[in-house]
Amino acid sequence: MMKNRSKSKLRRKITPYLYLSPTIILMLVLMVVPIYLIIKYSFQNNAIVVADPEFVWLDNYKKILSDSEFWGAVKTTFVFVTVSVAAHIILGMCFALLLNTKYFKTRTKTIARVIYVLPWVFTASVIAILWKMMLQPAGIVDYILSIFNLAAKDTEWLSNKDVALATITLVNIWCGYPFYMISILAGLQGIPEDLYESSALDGATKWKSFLHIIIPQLKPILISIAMLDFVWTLQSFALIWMMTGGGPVNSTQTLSIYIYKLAFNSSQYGLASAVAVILLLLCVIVAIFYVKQQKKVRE
Amino acid sequence: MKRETFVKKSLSVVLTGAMVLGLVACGGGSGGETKDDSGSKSVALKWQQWWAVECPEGYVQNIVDKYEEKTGVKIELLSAPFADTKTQITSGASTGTVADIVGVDSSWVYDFAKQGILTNQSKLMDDDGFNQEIVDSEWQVDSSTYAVPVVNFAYPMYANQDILDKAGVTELPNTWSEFENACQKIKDAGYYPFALNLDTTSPSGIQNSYMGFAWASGIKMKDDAGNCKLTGNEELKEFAEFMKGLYDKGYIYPGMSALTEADMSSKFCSGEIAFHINSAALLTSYRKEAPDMHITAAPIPIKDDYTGKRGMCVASWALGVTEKSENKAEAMKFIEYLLSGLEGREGSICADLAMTQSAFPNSTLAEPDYSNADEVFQDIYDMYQKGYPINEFTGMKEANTIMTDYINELVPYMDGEQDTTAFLENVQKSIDDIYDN
Amino acid sequence: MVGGYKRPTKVILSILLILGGLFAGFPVLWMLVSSLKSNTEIFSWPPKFIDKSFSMRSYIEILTDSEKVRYFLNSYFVSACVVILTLVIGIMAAYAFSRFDFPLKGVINTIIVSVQAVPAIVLLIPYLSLIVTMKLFNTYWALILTYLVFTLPYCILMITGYFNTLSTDLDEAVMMDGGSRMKALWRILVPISVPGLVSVGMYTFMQAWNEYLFALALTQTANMRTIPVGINMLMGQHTYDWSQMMAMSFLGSIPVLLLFIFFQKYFIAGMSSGAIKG
Repeated sequence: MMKNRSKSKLRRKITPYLYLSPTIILMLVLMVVPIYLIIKYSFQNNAIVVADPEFVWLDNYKKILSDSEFWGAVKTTFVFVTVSVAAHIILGMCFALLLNTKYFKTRTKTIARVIYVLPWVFTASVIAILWKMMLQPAGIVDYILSIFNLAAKDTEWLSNKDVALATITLVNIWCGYPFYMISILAGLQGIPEDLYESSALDGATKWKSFLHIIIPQLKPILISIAMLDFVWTLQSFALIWMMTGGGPVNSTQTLSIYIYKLAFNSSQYGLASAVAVILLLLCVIVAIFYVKQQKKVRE
Repeated sequence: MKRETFVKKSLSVVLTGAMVLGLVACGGGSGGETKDDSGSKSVALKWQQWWAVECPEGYVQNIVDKYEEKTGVKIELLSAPFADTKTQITSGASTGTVADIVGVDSSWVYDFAKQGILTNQSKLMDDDGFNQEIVDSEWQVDSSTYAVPVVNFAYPMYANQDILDKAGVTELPNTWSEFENACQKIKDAGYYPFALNLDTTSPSGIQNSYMGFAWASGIKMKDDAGNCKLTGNEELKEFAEFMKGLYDKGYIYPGMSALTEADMSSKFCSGEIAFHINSAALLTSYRKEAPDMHITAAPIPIKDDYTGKRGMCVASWALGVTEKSENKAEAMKFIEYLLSGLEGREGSICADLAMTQSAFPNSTLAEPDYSNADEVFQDIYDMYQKGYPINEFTGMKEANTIMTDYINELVPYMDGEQDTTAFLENVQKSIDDIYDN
Repeated sequence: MVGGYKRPTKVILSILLILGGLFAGFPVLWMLVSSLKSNTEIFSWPPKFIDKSFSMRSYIEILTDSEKVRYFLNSYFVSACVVILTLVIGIMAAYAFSRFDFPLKGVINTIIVSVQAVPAIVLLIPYLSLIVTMKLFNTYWALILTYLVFTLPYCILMITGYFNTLSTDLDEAVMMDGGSRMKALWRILVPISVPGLVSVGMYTFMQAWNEYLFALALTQTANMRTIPVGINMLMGQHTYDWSQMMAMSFLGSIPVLLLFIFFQKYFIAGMSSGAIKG
């Protein structure tokens, strides 16, 4: 009797780990090992380039933190990430609610859903090239805007350093919102009908039912996707690289572009790794907050 | 009910997936086997390049097939887009997956040599007694060769004659002031006179278009000893001011700092740009994309009082042997074969490649027959022979970083945010920083 | 209820729907238009939707090129494997996170979230050397495993989120009846979460389908390449084949869209709410 109970207790303790074991093994081997290597590189001079690189402690970090280009990249990344994530949430939410209303026929909504999800299905380099083609001076965007007298024929969207960052952020918003839209749409289906009905009986306005029913119900999903989006946008590379290469005059040089240039143009792999580790630390902090938050939501 | 349909549908999806899976897996399996068969007996080399993508389909494959027929050495082509080839070679070298022979761009050679990715080819060529006199140029770092160009591409100035005719430009401009006059007429006629590609994704525009323009007038950024000297370089200053003049007068195509070489080529074909400097290799594709356009090769305008020979920017398709290769001698042999045939006496392969790509062979044995070539190309060839090839960026340390920094100082200068002296000083400073590092 | 709406609301919403549709769809329409033009006409002013150069050339060239068709098959295969594996492994992990409290839970969760933060471009070299050491270089497994670990964190987080919205009464009821945990998970939780799983699966598929950097680095021969690599191959040293690039992207997007159309009824209102009530 006693034995049996302790056995089942043990089993109960082990069970979650069993469920997690494939994930843990994969992550350990394929993610943790390379990340360990990156951390190692970040303490080395001439990592990768020479066979036995010299261990230089925090020299790489000191160099990075005293580089004005790094801080410029931090600023650019901050703007790019915060605006993108905020716009993604708002746009994704609006479109999801729009597609969830009862005002449209099912067929209308079916077609709209497919159109709205379109920006999501293309690879980053194609999105970059498509938009670059559209935004070129005397391209289709200028053409349409010039019909309404909103812009000149040769407006420089990507080559004007005051506008370029806004432009790539807009493109990033375009290709990122469907992910929110789909996730929110899926989340909305999980909200029981009677919740709406009971609020309608209470005479609640649309706005109130949005604030008091939809938002709290979607909160766990919203927080998860916002956090993931933050992490992804932070390291978004191909889109920016193919559109502007970080230019004009470094005005769109985010941290990922900065890292690429360090690693592959200047062969400073140690410095590039140091920046990556800094990003990693930042994300660990965000992740800790996220995990705490998730706990709260559950309790 | 609902659940059942879902299960059914999921099953069908999984099944379709499995079918595709089986299909593809079969193909993959057979591909691997043949590779093993040939690899176990004779030497098999790998060749990482971007040429196959640029050449007519099957052209490069045909070269290696013929080589295998003649020597039994199998060469497997590994193709990647030009823009990613450097990343591929760097990451391949650090993990041991790099090919034996790699295509090299002039802006990579210094870094590849210093990082030990490329092996010293001077030694290899000495070892097998290759007659290096037949090679026009070799890329050297610390006086050893690390890559040998196979064909060279000139960078002439293309002109859209249709636009010139409409604008009433009767003669191709030969000097800076004639060029300015022509630009004004073209602008008045509603076209864009000149394009400058200063995008930094691939920063080669500063080399091909900007410095290529300067080199024509013998204006250089290096002194005779080969050291960069931009600070106080009066000629370079004068050239920068000339360029800024073009920009201020609105002669340069808008959006230059996001304009890539590919954008520029397409814009030229669509008939919006009158002049631009670009690779001679593009002539074939211009003929294909814009068959009705009257294209001419214009001499790159020179400073009004300049009388010397004209420098012409060249880029090359060069090959290097990697340090990781286990068959360095065989790899070198193949490069030599491209330049001088099996016996070291004939350059027909090199000549043919040059003709296909509107390039010039880097082997004196090669005698390409350009008599049937495009007229425009013959003009380019003429200019090339009368002038001299030059590319000061070849073999520079971190050439891509230097070019990017150069652009990042040039653009604010053009926008009037810094004066000429500061512009050149800043470029000098970033070059010095790179070399001091 | 349906008939009870006010007219102005519908008009405003319709306008919004159309504007949103233009924002989302126009660039893709332009892609389609461009794929049917010649490379030169794409750049002409004023831009036209259909012009004299209209032809299916690009599509024919792609579909008759056996190497390019191979890219498509490779992409299908890799993406399908990744979706199946990610969902199975992700569902199990999510179940653990959602239904158990165990030591290290927070730590594991934090690690899973934050490993994604390392920029792919830095990860490239160490990851490549790992794959080479494991003798997986230039195989499907290299790509499948890579995309698996890339998409797994997202998958786990989202599915945990969906499971958390479901009451634990559901699976406890099964176990009261003597069913196992596995049964509770696969028979009760998974079917209820279908809309969420579909969106996660779609995302996973898209990631595997569209990834370029690692696809290029981890494979070497033409028979292992995927579509994004094929598209980038069309970007030459001096010129791009714009029209073919657009055509290939458009072709590449069709399977994803078909999948979406196929599964989209799971996003329709009320579809799963009944299940939750029951």
